[in-house]
Amino acid sequence: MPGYIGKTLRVDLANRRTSVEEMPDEIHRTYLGGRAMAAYLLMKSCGPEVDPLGPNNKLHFLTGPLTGTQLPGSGRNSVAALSPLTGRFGEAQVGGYFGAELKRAGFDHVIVEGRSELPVYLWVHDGNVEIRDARAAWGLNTADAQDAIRAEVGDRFARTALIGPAGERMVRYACVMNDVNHAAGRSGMGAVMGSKNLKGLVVRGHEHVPVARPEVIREIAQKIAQNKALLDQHRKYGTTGVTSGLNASGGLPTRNFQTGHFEAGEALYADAFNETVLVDVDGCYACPLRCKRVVEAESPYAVDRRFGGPEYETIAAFGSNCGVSDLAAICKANELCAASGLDTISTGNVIAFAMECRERELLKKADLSGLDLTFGNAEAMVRAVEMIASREAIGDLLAEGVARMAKRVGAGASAFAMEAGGQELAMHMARQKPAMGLGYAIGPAGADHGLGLHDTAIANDGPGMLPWRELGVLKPMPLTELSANKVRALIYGQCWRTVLDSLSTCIFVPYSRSDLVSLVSAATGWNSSLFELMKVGQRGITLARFFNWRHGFTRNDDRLPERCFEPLPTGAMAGTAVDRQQFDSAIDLYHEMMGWDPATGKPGNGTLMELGLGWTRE
Amino acid sequence: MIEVTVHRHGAGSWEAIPVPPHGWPAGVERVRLPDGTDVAGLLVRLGIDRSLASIVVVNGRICEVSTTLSHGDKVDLVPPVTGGRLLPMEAR
Repeated sequence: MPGYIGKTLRVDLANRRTSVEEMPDEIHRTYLGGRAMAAYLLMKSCGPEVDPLGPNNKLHFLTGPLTGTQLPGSGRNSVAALSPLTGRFGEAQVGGYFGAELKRAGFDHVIVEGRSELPVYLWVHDGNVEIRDARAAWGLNTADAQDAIRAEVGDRFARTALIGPAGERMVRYACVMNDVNHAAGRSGMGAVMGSKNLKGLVVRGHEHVPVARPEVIREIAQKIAQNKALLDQHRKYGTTGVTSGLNASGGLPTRNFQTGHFEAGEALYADAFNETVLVDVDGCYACPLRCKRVVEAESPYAVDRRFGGPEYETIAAFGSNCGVSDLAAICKANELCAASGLDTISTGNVIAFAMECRERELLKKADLSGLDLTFGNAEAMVRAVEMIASREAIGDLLAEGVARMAKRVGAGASAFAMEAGGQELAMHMARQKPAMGLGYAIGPAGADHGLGLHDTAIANDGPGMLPWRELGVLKPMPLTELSANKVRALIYGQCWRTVLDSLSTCIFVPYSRSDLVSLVSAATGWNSSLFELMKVGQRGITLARFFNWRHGFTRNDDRLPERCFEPLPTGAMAGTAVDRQQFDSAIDLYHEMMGWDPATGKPGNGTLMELGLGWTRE
Repeated sequence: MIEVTVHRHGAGSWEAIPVPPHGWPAGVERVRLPDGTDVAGLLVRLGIDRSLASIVVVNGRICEVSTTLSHGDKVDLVPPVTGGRLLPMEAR
């Protein structure tokens, strides 16, 4: 079928066997690819008896029908497995070139199962696959490992998805790095890879990805490439542009989310960033946006440009949230995360949490292996990243993530353990954006800003509301309102976002909803519709929820840390808190709107049948 | 006349928000306005659609567009930060 290669590669590492499976067209159309396909495949293969770090967990690399076409944003892929961080549905989205190259190498998806006795990597090239010895690359950082493996396979254009030492040591929030500087950050997928003794996937292909109507794809791709304002915006700032606005409006997570305003925040703003550390920009397959940053620094922190540069999330996680205003130190922490394969959002949160435990004397300096981990201590922060990656001394505790740390520390520390569903919060505050908080609490993979609604997007009337009206969200809503209409908007936003993540396309490329419908039809030859795509989104979310319910998670696990219900002490939103009663009602209402039982969290039979998921009841 | 300082904060990228063809020029500027001008009047004067200034902060506090401005006020205009997408007007 156009849009798909039609082949899934299955690799059994324990028995060193590989096989190729053909996926029925109906399954493609029902789940598209990426996240929804991950939910389908995990639901089929991964029951509650599976240990996330055991050989029976299955690691998926997934693309979608647009991947590898000439569209901007089509180089992405999804990585999914049972998460060792959350014990839930685990999934991470990532950019770069790997996704497109995988398809060109002859496969839509790769499923890895079992555990290899010795470290290995997969060399997938033009329909062939080899399980190769990775002992020489084991222990290397992602860039050195990429260099070594490319030299070994004799192809300097081979694309890689690798873990670093953090994944090898199964840090619970270790990530998978595509092409060294693009992170499949969330859910601890790098730890799953490490548990399998799998250093990485290396792919190279020359197959043309077939599409039904290439002229439609070409036309929309050109429209993006010709939008100068769009390109300038992304090239100049990437995501770093948002830091100042969030600080000015009181929504910049500061000192472990204690407040939303960082008094030294100006040092982190985009212009300062561009003047002091930025040396180049970078991008992804077929994309003219070039939103990725490349940074360099010398003394006191030597920062290697091979590892790219920090995004907004990373700047806030290691900056304001750790009370640090030294951009070079933040860039160093980012570099260490890319090199060792650590999720920057979780790592920054973990360090901020440890800093607050230290300030409250729940952890003493002696407990912290002598590290003076206090807010604002940039040097200690950078050192902590190294210790986490190597699980050295206190790094071994920090490597477990905020939720497990809070249990170990006790003494009420969970009240300021900034996680939801076992995953550390992203750098958007529920007290400024309550629907984002709701998304954190109810997200299939735990806190994930990709599946929350930025309340600011629908706070005012004007052209910004146009795409929402297409979904039936007709009126703007006040920023901190948590009404039935806001819950409805969150659900529609989540369904749409799940569509994008199932197509494995990028949210930064401004395809309108009608563009996307046209693109899916043009790639596959289907006569698709917004209705059909939104249903795929809802199906993906509901399947992931069912998966979590089967793993023992209920409505009672849909919660936010206590801190979110306390008024912000400073900043433009001082005095604002998430209203607990409104929040609880909104969670119940979300369940009812989605057709899930508000008492247990289980998707109802009618909903499952309507979404074509009757097979889950077997 | 009064004079206020306006900080138009940068946008990373926005979720499906139409932006004017010239984009969203981030930066700081001083603006002279007639006495009694409110925030809505300031936005009209700057040619900024209300949905693009999703949060308005005057002197460090979030406020409504009906807020009357005074001489020396510091105004922060924050676009809808979403880590998402930006949609060209002409694409609609």
